[in-house]
Amino acid sequence: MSRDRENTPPRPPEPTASGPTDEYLLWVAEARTESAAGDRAFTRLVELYRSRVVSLVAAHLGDADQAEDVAQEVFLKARAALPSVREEARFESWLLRIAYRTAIDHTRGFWWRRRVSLERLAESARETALAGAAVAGAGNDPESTLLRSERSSQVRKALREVPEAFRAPVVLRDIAGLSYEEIGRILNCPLGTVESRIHRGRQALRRKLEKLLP
Amino acid sequence: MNSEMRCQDVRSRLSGYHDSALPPPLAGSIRLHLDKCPDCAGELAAISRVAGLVSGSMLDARPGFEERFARKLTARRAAGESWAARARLAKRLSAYAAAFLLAALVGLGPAVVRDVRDYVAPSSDAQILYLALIENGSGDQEDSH
Repeated sequence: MSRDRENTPPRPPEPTASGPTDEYLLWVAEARTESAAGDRAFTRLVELYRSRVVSLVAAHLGDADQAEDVAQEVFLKARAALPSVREEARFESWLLRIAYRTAIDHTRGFWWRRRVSLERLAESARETALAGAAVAGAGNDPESTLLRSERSSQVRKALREVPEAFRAPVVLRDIAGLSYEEIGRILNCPLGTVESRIHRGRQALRRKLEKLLP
Repeated sequence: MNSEMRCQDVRSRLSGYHDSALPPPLAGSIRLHLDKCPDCAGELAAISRVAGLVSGSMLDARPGFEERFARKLTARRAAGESWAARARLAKRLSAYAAAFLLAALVGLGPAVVRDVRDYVAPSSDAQILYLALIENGSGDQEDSH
């Protein structure tokens, strides 16, 4: 491949529903190497997955600022462990598994790590939104962005109130975008359990988010 | 079977149906039921809205996330290298210390043994003298009888 990695390397193509593309696998393979080129390739993967990792962690912690620090930790762990990963095709679920476990470790940590200030949550979400960082089709209008951000922070607050057993599969499905099989592997439970927990988690959220639902 | 699914059975599988995670025959049965049951169709719409709200709550990191990551990676590696260097130095120093101790034992061993013998010898003489005195003392007592 004659790609000029010294200058700005192109962003690796995101895996599609039919699976990861060959080019994506080559990026992951290159990121596995312990070299400057490996670091550059990994940084592009960080760019590709940062939103999902930050969102997944934020859904468990409830705090957007803390989520960013934890997401950095996730990528550092992944960078250190990546050379030992054998299957590039499963990089995505491998990374998101690290993100999930790291987030859970933080929620189960010391009280001062677990403490969540709802005021800070709303404030940090507002700052994040105003920084123009909201994803998923956010408009450029600051007011609508702010509105979206308020709604997102309410969703995260509701998620925090759902028991972890039901929150985790919902987050892995609706935020991380993993299949039921991948979620079952991460949570170490059968497909039927994944399905019923996702359903119960969504039902619990539905009750908590009644105001937001049309 | 298709037309015989009860609302209760359908509703418990609606998340799986929404996520296209059900086996095709079951998904087909549910689809047929939903076509005829507005209540269950409404339930599916509600689940779909909840899933949409959650997936719409995605955040992105603040600008400069990759740069901050690269700095942390460099710092972590530097810390790791400095720790590894300290570990190598400690290993080398302990090897030197072990070699010095061994050399001291081999080189100074005879002198140490001699010193010990010199130290122990007078005490042994003292013991001999003490024993001799005791023996003499007891001999005197026997003589006095």
